[in-house]
Amino acid sequence: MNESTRRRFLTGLGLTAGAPLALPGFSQAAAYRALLGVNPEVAGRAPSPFGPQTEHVVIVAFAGGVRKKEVLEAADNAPNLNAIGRSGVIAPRVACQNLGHYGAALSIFTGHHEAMGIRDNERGLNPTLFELLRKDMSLGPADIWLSTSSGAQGRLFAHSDHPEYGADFAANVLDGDGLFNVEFKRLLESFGKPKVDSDQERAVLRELGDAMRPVEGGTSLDPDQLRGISNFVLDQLTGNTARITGPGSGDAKAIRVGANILKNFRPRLLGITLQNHDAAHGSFNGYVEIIRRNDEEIGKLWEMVQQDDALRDKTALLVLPEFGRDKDLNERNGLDHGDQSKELHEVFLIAKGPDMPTGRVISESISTIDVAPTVYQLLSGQRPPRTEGRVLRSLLR
Amino acid sequence: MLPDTEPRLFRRLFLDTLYRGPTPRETRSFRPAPTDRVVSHLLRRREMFEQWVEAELFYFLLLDRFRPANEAVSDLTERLAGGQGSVRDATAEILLSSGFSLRNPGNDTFVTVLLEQCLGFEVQSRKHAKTLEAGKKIYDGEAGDFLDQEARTQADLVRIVLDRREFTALTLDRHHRRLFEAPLLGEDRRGNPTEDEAATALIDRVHADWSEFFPVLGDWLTSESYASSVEEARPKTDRQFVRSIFSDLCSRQPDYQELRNVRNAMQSMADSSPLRSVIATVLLNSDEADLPDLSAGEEAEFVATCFERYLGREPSDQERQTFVSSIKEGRANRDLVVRTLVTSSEYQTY
Repeated sequence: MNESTRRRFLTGLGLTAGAPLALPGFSQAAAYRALLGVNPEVAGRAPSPFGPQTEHVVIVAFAGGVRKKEVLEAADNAPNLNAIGRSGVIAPRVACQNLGHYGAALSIFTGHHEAMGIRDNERGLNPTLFELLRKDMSLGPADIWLSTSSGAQGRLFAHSDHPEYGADFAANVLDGDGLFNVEFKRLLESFGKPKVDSDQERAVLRELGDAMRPVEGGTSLDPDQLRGISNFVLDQLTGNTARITGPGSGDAKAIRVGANILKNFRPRLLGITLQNHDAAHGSFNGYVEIIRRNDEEIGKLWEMVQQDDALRDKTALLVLPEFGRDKDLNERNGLDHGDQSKELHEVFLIAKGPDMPTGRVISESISTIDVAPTVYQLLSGQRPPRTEGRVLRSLLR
Repeated sequence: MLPDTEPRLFRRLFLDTLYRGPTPRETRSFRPAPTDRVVSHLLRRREMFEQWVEAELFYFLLLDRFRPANEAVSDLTERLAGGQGSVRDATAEILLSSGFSLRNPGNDTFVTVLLEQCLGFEVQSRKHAKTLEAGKKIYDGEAGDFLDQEARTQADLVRIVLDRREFTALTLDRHHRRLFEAPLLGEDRRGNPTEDEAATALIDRVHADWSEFFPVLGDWLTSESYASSVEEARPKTDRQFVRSIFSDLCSRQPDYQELRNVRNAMQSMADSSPLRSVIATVLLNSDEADLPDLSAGEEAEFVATCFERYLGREPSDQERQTFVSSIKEGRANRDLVVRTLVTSSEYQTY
């Protein structure tokens, strides 16, 4: 569909320039995808030669330090994850390095050990899985997303400073807690809700916008993509996501937003990074509560995938921590991460997907940095670029 | 005296010093005016010092509950603006604030962040292991040597770090990167910072006398290389966008809570353009919107005023023709014209 045809198609649906999202006979998810230039009727994707059934991958990184003891060895804390693992793959020996939360979590997405400072506000130099896939598979901005609760550092995951990759191949990053919170919602409401544009107003906005000369250095999103994502953000802001509160709400929002992204945009790759587990420094009980809450939300996300014909049997899920935590409690009855114990340096991976074995326990020792090359191969069918990590053959059928 | 300031340079100077575009009144006051006069004015503004403090708090991630109280920030701004303390002194106050201690709790985090953020050390590398261990003990109250100086307290650690030449070099390098998108310092093959002759002279000048810091910024802002850098558009940072959109649409600056909430929200997206569009539209639709007047028969003037005010340039012939005719034909109104400009890709740059 060329640009003018697509515009006519969108105009016919009333979808240009801030159109209402709920249209008769046209689902909200389809509306977003249409705005982003994906015809909802032909949204199927070419099968990957290596993993012929996997079209979407969700990687959930517990980026706040989680031991396997509280997940694999305490099924009551994580019934959903354990159920997913039992019907898919469980790897109980996943090596990791305590490189700080940011560096260790980034390592999962680059396939390299990333030694970053605690408060580092710089991007990494190794291209992320997001950039590699976008560039090598010619994917668009709506195909790769990251939902995070990792604050300002979270958006640094979107892309690296690698000269051949970078911002042009970035993931769309949404930090649910930073964006969909009561304070921001209240602030916007203090100015009043934006009025809905008439068809004529939308047409004029497009005409005036088209007349303006193009500029370099701005967003890489085209006007339709910009409007599609703006509408999604506005919809989430005015919906229930901002009302999720309480301990661990940041992670809960990141998973909920991730699920909504999956449902609305059906990206090829969705990363979800969670950080609230780090409350463990001050409270073991609080940490366990967050594990339980996250397990519940991941269970809902996976259930949503099973209910969606376009996602079921085409979506793989991988869940792993960036590192574990100390063996013993600290003086606050919490758990730090610095004792160099096995509990800190050996975590777990739970995975399930159409191209993965069922009911398998991988007994060999693998690494958190193996995830990126494995997912690259799973989605692209190509050998991944050289990384410190390796493709996990045992994870793939 | 330098020649009159070209419009794009004029706009960039405001955005790089005050983190917002010029108001219509400022434009009337300073155009035409030579660049050195504009820069001299900007570098004396209280608002510039206030924004410098805010930028440093952001650099040290002293945000939200870790941010010092408004009174403390205001007091620091006043003293800097009044010449009663240098950038080095202000940094010391920030590092010794309770917010910094809360943000970086415990000996390991405090000393690590001090070494990383102020001196640019890679603390994880083995060569700094002894320094880190020494700093941790001093933080806990033991006397000892830290970077070849005697120390007993957290304040000693801060003083020793800020007296290092690496701190001066790193501070200047950060600001050089901000203004020129290029480092002041180079790197050798091992990643260690290197200096050329000009950089060495600048670092020495400021290290010997920290009151030279803002004059050095002034030299940079009036340089030919800075003037020529406007040829290439740069993306506005979130803070520049928030301050600009409030200034441009509501004729006021956001208060701290507004800035914090909007900026935090924008920090939540790698590409915040979609959210920027939402915010611009919300402000434009609000009762606070303060837009240029549009009178019948003055459509061309209105369009020119809007382009000047929001984009800092004249409209092209095609833009003028399209905008004016759409107004005259009754299809476009004041709100739609302004919304087109402030939600455009161009408005996201400067």
